[in-house]
Amino acid sequence: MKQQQAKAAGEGASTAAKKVTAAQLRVQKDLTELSLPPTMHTHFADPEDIMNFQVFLQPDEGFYVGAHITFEFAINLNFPHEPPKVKCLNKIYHPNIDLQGNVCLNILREDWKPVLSLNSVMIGLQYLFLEPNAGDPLNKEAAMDLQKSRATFAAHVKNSMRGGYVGPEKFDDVLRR
Amino acid sequence: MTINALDRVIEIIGPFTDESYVPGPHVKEFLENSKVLVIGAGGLGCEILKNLALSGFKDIHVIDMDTIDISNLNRQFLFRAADIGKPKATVAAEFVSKRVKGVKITPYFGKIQEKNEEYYSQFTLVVCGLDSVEARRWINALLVNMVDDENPESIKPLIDGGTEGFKGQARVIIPTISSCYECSLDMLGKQQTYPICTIANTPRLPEHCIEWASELEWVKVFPGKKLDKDNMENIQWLYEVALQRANEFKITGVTYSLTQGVIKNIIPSIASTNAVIAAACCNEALKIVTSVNPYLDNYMMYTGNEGVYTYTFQHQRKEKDCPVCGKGNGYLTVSIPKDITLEDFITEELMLRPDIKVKSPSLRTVRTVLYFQWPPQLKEATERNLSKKMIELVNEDEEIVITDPALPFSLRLRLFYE
Amino acid sequence: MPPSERDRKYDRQLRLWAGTGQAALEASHVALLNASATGCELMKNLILPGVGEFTIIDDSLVKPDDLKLNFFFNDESVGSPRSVIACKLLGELNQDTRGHALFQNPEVLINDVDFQWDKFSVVIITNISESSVRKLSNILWNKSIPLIYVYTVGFYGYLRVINREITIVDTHPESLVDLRLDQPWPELIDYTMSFDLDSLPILDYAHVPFVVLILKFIDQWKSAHNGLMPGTYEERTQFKQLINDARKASDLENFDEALASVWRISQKTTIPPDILAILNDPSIDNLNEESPDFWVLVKALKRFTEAPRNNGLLPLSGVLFDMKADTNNYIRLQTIYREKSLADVHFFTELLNELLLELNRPSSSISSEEIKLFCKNCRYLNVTRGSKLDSEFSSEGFRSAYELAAFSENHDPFYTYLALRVYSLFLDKNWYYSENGKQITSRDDVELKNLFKSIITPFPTVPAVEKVFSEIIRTGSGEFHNICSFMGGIGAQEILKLLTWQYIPLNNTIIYDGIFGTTKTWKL
Repeated sequence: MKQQQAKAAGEGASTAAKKVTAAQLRVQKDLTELSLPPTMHTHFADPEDIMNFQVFLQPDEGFYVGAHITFEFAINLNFPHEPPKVKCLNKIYHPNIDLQGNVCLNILREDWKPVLSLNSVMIGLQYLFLEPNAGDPLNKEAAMDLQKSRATFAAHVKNSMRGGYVGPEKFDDVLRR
Repeated sequence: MTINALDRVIEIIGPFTDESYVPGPHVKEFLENSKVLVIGAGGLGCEILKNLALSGFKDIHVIDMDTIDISNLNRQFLFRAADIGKPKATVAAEFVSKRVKGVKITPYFGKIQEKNEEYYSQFTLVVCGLDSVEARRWINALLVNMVDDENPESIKPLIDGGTEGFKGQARVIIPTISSCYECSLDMLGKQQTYPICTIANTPRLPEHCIEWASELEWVKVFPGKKLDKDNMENIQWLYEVALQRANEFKITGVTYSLTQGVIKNIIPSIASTNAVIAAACCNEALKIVTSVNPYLDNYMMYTGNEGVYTYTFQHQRKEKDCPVCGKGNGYLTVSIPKDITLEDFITEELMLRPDIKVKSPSLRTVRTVLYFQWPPQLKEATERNLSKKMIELVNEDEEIVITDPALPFSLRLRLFYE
Repeated sequence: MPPSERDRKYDRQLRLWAGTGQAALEASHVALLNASATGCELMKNLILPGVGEFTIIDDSLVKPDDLKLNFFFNDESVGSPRSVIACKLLGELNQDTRGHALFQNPEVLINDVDFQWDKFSVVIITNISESSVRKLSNILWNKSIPLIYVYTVGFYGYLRVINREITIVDTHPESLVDLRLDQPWPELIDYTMSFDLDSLPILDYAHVPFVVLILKFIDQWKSAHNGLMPGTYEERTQFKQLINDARKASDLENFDEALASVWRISQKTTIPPDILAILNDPSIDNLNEESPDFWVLVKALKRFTEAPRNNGLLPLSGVLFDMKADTNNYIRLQTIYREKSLADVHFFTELLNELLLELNRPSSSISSEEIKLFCKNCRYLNVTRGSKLDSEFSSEGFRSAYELAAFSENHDPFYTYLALRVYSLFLDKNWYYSENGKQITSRDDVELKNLFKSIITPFPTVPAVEKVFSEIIRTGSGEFHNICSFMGGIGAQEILKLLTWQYIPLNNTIIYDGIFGTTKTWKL
């Protein structure tokens, strides 16, 4: 019963709704006014669908210099009442990103406000790579590592980015695209 | 002895009625001929349907996409245990039409988004009893956009009710005239969220353990499988995982009921508050349609947990800052030659118009992106549209939305081909 | 364990008043006099959540006109007793509720000295002659049974709760947190002192609970200020500076929380005035075996605060809100608060048992759950005392509401209330309640005004009151379903509070003005 209903709803929506929703409208506004540093790029797998896209980040300084990091943005129709959902698609060694790609950034959850734009989220992500926050870790091992010695941490990051191991975990090679 | 006041008041001018009120039997005729739409057949919706039927409305439509659940029965009084699983709209409509003779109630079991402007334009007004912010924003934006300055009948008043435990609110939105739902979006309380790092590493509350189970463990254990929040087995799994974590950290308070509450974001709901808010809404519906007395201007907040306290006030429009009804977010109708290209349309029609003042506009319809100036990939992907003819890209009944750094929000446009 | 079917049905309300409230509701029996639209709407909102039993008292038959206003009559029921039909159609709403119909004239019943009212937990009376309401209110007042009197006409409705006294422990305040930063106890001090902030690695440092931070800095401040707390605004600013200077990094949420809580230390932990008034209530002076548990608990609470070891403080709630901290430290802190609260409960129980002994009651006659709840909520107890309907026009509240109305720029709701009350008395004098009662017409206007003068003697009639008279006349004593339903919602809500002994009840009168969409309450 439920499935049938969902199907009917999906079909109806494509034929009946001719209105751009407030969420789509705001996303359009935010996207066309993005002002990103040269280290960041957006990528739309389907240019018709502006609610789902990827953001590429290539830090030019800090521990992660040279890495190609990909984030996935998924925006629902309650935007900007609700924040976008962001995941890191690479398995990386980072205090604020776990091995499943969850990102710990306050403005993505508890500190989200509708006045914040997609631009501010993207800049926030970039900042995480310039200054990983050991005080509020998601990957606790990485955070303690960073806390103990920046040099060791840097070496571990470097190794991980080449597709190497840190402890028992093997990470994605993010130096090559 | 029961006397229905309606037959009396329509015949007499009252001390508070507007000067323009003309009493007479036509008032009742108008009431009986008005079509009114009820959105939602839940806690508020059941009350609203009953109230409208007993207020003299004869032609009522109701939309709801849900089916009846056992947890509805403590307040949704048109449903019985035997109705569990059936569509709310259908059961509610049937019950009220059977009970109140002479009232026609037309149900629609589905989403409001499945209906188009033509459908919504048949109604005199809309009464909303929803628990979803998203659906409210949708209907609000639609009704605002439907307003045609030349045609007063295109203004469809929206009466919106909402409740949460002992609290609630009732409000009247006259699209483009009074504050709209989007204008007041910042009055909404934020949904409780917890930092993901707390959930992952430093859980302190039972809620942290429950979110750990649903946000982190579920995807790990069942990759690619969507969590069904209505499935009791899924909730049971989350509960057990959360409880285990809580025990590990010596956190107390994880229960099945709390797990379900956190996962489904359950809002407490009782019959009495729904009755108060629905009645306040329908009282306004009756006054708006008949003009027998002035209607609410425009917001009543209700708090019933400490004595009874209400606050009635005029919520102000956000003017140009409202992305939906703000001034400057105009709605234009433009007629253009059949063979004009998108590029010419932008440079010759849009950018030269003195009333629009756009410099580098980006355009889309609900179906497709026409042309985005930014970001670069979208510009590249849409540039090829520039040389295409408008008529190949956009139908006459489709809306074009234009954003531009120079505009406070957006511009909506509808085309006519000459 | 997944919840039972019953818990699933009531899930959305159990999240408000929990199993205890639900059990109390299910043990109640509510009576309705007059199966009016308002009365039936009200009953609907009590039957749905599961009131145990209800009785509808009415002796008239369903007429076609009733169907236009009352949802709980149907076509087929025309000519049948209203009490029977309403009982049946309302009863369908919840299989777990038992309904009774009493085919009897409410006014005759009120005059029946043999009628047993005691089986009812609450009685509701709607749109019945003023003199009968007064009579009934006196009967029930003497029996300490709450009476809810609801009246609706045209776009107006008013409701009055006539109840001697209700005492509520579980008032559901916004927060039960009581940090006692100005009065730390030894275990909390020891725990605080176990931290050596300077030696902590940054990750741990960032997770020291702010309660510990504040207590540490208070200690530091006190040793530099002759053992005194930062008292003045100036001193608190300096105190904030002290905290700020100590932080090792800028983005430390626990330090932010400490700074944001500095105002708390200026709130000296004392007994709130409302609670002090309850502790000094004469009700605890002459307790006996029969005295309600609440007042026995209050007397024990008074002894608790007077015990030298408690320093004039109430038992600690033991509730802590979430704060930036690692799990272990948060749980330890929480345990310290909980254990202190348990120790308070333990000592309170000793005092209570002594008192129970004095009253010739067994020591287990108040359950430990009740004691715990009482101690947890003791800062937020509520005692609401109503007044008799008879004393309304001479009450202090009435006088001050009238005087305040004169200062109001807009149409003051009190004028509306006055007009409605006079109207109600007018009906009483003019037999409008008889079976074939007449409708009010414009010819009645003069008499309404005269009546106003004779009742509300010291107060002159004002144009605002006259306006309401003419609005009432316009509606011809008629009603609107929406107004009935609104008042039924409020009435049910207030009865739910009385039956579950939770939340704070209305004291004692509310008016709804459906023209302007406003309400106002007074204690009359």
